[in-house]
Amino acid sequence: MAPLLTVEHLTKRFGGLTAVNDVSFTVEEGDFLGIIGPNGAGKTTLFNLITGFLPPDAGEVRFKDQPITGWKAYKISRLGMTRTFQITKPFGHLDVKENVVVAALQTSSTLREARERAEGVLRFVGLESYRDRSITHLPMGLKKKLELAKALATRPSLLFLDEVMGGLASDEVQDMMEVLRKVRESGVTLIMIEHVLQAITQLSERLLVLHHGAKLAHGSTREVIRDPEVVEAYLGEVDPDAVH
Amino acid sequence: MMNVMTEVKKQRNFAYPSARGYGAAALLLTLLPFLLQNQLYYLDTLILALLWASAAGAWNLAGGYGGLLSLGHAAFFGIGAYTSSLLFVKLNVSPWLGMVAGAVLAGLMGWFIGMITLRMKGPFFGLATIAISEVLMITAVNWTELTQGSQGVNIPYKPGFVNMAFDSKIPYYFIALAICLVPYLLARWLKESKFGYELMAVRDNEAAAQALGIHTVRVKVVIIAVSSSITAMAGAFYAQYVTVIEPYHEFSFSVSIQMVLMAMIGGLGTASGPIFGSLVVTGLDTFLRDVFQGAQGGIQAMMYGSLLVLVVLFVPEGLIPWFTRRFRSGKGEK
Ligand SMILES: Nc1ncnc2c1ncn2[C@@H]1O[C@H](COP(=O)(O)OP(=O)(O)O)[C@@H](O)[C@H]1O
Ligand SMILES: [Mg+2]
Repeated sequence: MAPLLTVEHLTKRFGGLTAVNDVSFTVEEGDFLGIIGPNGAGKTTLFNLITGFLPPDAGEVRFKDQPITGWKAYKISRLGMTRTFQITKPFGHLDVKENVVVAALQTSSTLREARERAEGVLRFVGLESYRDRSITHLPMGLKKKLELAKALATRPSLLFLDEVMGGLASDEVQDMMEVLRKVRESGVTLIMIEHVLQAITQLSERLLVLHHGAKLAHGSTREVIRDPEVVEAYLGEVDPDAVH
Repeated sequence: MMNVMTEVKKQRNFAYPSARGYGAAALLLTLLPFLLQNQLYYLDTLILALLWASAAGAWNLAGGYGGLLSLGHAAFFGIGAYTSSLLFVKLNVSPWLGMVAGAVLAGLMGWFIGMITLRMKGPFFGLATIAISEVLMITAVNWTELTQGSQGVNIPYKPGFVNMAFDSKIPYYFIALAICLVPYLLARWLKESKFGYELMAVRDNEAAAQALGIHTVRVKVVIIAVSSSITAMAGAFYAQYVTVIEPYHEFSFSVSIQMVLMAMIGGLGTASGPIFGSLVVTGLDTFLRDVFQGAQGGIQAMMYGSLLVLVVLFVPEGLIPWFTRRFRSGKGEK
């Protein structure tokens, strides 16, 4: 059977800068892939290329063997590939629940059904007591959860998370990790960019390391974090025994 | 804790009254023209207020709910006014049909502008609407065989239902009220429909909307076409009511700005905001005309300017959301 996602030779240039350079990898159904690399390594750009927010200069993306390179973002989302944004993008004039309702509507036949499902998703991520809150004064931790809730409400089969733990306090990170474990158990395949290395090494079985836009390492989390090149570059502080 | 409590409390919302509120409003709106029968001056102001509320409400569907800040809605208003008037004057077509024809034409025009400009990021849509209204004005001024140029089109007075011309002002009142209800009810529907949620999502964050699977260009093009059509209906009614239309007024920037202002003053993205905004602006307008007879052009511009400054300074969210917040109470329904 074809992998859920196939990325081949994906390349993106911004003027003289090659932000993503000939990156290839595959993701099988049920995988949890972590993507790490320093700031500016091209992680977010890679997400933008795969999810249709930027057209690649070269390379191909396939979802279950179907080529989707250059497709519009909304069409890719409708296939079941949904992403979150590193800089959260809430719908500012809607309240917390309505934000999730918009997402749930994309896979519901009635508004009533969407409202019920939104309620379920809010409970799932632990936002139910904030359902009527306006977005304006929502703290970062809740905004990140809302970002996740919106993506989940579209019922994705493949979920792209761009630093959902960025800027969270350590108890919030623990909380988010619990939620992500539940997402995983519910059968969603996950690709997650994360700076909080302790978190990503505990969650993901496989890691892909990007460096200056290119793939530096790719393999099981255990192997990758012992890779001398990777250790030297970024992983000095990770305790190899606390790994998935 | 108190914060959370007040946040959670449901608010009594002026934009969404109760069933009893509706009954009272319906009764009042039905009786009003009869009460004002002998004060034609006020009835006239009220009809104009409803007319501009229709146009501002139509603008608000795209501008307030969709974030599509058109600065040239006079284009659609003028298309409605000219289409129905010319069909009536030249071909004796009933203005009711003319109104439909104008709405269809304006809708197509809105759809066309949207298809071209709404794919692009940037201010192209707003600029294109201004450009189109200017082009239409120039066309209406110069195509004299068809439009009598800057003289304008006079609609001969032939009273009768088919001709949408009446001896009394009361039928005009009810037509204006009916047109005004179209954007109002559509706005209410937006809060209860998939399309409405998609529209508000597109307004608040287009990329996030796309990420969830929303075809954002389609949503925007649909709402601009609908908004343009309703604006044209208001334009067609306007022509019938004042019985003379002029290119320098109908396609003017000030007509465009008037719609924007009324919606902003009442509250962007609220169903009743444009109606209240229009009552305030039209009421003031009439009052000032009364006080300073003659030099109205300058006074009007000054009034719009001052009103805008006051609203931006003191009630930036508009009157309806402001009232709703002020009179929030624990027991009302949402
Ligand atoms: N739209 C863009 N235009 C120009 N340069 C960009 C754009 N998006 C990202 N870049 C550049 O590409 C590089 C990779 O950025 P990004 O993918 O955001 O990195 P990461 O997410 O790994 O921190 C950076 O140097 C960034 O400045
Ligand atoms: Mg990034």
